[in-house]
Amino acid sequence: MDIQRELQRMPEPDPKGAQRVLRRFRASRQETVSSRAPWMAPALALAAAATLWATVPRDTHRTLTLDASGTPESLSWSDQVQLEFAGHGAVSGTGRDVAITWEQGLISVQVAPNTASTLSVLTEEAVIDVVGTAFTVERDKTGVTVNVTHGKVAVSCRDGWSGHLVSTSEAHTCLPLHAAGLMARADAQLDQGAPPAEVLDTLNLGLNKAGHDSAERGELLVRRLHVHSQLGHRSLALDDADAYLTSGQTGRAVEVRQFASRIALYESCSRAMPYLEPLLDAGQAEDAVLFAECIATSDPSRARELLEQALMALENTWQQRARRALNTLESP
Amino acid sequence: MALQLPNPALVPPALDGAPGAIDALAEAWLPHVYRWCHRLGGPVVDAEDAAHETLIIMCRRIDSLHGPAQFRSWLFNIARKVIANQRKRAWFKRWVPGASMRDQVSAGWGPERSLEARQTAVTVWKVLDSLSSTQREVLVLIELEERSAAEAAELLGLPTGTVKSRLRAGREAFRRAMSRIPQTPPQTVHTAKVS
Repeated sequence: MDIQRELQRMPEPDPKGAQRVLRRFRASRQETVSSRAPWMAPALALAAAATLWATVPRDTHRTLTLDASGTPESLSWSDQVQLEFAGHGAVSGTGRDVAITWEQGLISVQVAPNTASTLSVLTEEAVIDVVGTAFTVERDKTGVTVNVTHGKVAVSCRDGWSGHLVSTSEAHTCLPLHAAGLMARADAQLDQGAPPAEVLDTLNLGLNKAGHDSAERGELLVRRLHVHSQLGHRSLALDDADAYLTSGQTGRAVEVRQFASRIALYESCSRAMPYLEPLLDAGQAEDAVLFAECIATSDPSRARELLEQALMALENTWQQRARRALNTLESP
Repeated sequence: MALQLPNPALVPPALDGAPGAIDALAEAWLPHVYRWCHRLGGPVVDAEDAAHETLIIMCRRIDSLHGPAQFRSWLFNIARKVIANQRKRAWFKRWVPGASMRDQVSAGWGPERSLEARQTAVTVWKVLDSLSSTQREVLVLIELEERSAAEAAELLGLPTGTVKSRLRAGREAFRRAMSRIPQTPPQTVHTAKVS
C-alpha cells in the first residue's frame, strides 16, 4: 500500500479557509494590539556595529542598527543584499534571509535576482516582501512609500489590510494607522500644497479612527473646517465648527468661532450670531464690530456702545469699518 | 507538496517587539499552521478555529520563546496543544463524522464526486484518527507535508532516530487500520426529473 497516495486522498485544506482565518486574526489583533512604546534597537553607532559585523561569519544570524541622519550610508549586508539608507531602523537575519525594521527615513534595498534570498521590510504601516529586486522604502509623516526601481515587490498595507503588487517604476503609499499619524499626514500634505480634496480624504480617515472625545478629533475637525472652507463647502465647514464646539474641546474654540462666523456671514447675520456672541466675552474688537453690524437695526444703542469700545482697540481697515458703522447708526 | 517555509529572519524582530513584526510573522506562518490543524486535527477539529487560536497564542506568548532557532518547534507545539484541546472539546460536543468537510470538498464539484471524495476523505481521516497522536504527527509531516525526517524531528523536538521509528510504527498501524476498513463502492446519487 502506498501510504502517501492514500493520505493524499484527503482533500487539501480550503484556501478560502486560510483567508477567513487571516481576516479573523487581523480583526482580533486590531482589537488587542496595545499601543506599545515604539521599538528602538540599542543605539549603537553604525561604525562600531559595522566593525562588529565584519568580524562575524556571514552565514550566521546577526542584527545591526541602521542609523544615518543626514548623509546616506551604504551597507553590503551580504553578496545578495545591498542597502543604502538615510534614517534609522535595524536589519537582522542571515546573508540570505533578512528582515529590516524601518523606523524613519529612506532606505534603498537591492536584492540580487535569482538568489532565492527572502527579504522583508517591516514598518508600522506596511510589510514589504521581495525576492530579487531593487526598491526604496521611505517612512515620513505622510506614511510609507515604496518605490520599485527594478522587479516587483508585494506591499501589504496594515490599514485596511490591502495587498498591492508594485512593479518597476511604480510607487505605493501605505497610510499611517492612527488618528495622530493621519493628522500629521494632513499637515504634511498642506505644507506640500497638496490638493484640498486629497487632504480632505486624509482628514476623513483620521476622523474615522479618532476617539469620540479625543483631542485628535478636535484637531482634525479644525483642519477639516479650513479645508471645507477652501473647497467652498460652507455648510460642511459650519458642521465641522459645530461638531468642534460641542465636542468638549475648548483649546481652539475662539479660533473656530471666529472662522465659522466669517463663513456664516456669507449666508446671514442670524447664522453668524451664535458664533459671534460668545466672542464678545473674549474681547476681540473685530468680532464686536461684526456683531454690532448685525444688531444695528434691532438694538442700535448696544451696537453703538460696542463700536465705540472697539474703536479704541482697532487700527486701519477695521477702524475705518467701525467708523462707517457708527456713522450709519448716527445718520437719520 | 511541502510549502516553502517563511523567512526565518522574521522571528528576531518579533522577539524584539518591532512594530508589526509579530503580525507579519503570524501571517507568514498562517498557511502552515492551517495545514497542520487541518491534517492533524482531522474532521473532529475545526481547522480554522484551531489555526486562529494557535496564532493568537503565538502572539501572546512570544516572550516565552527562548530563541529564534526554537521558533518552528515552539509554534508546532502550540498547534499540537490547541488541536489536542479541540479534540477533547469535540468529544463533548458529540461530533457528527464528516460534517465539517462539507465546504472543503463540494466547491465546484458535482454531487457524486463530492460524495465520493467525502467518503474517501472520511475513511482516511478515520484511519488517521485511530492512530496515536505521535504516529499521526509523524505521518502527516513526512508523508503528507513531505518534510524530511530531520525537519520533522526539529518541529517535534525529537531525535531523528525517534522520528524514524515512529514513522515505521505509524506506517504499519496505518496499513493495518486501512485493511480493517471495508471498501464500500461509491454510492449512487439519485436525481429526480420534474416534468
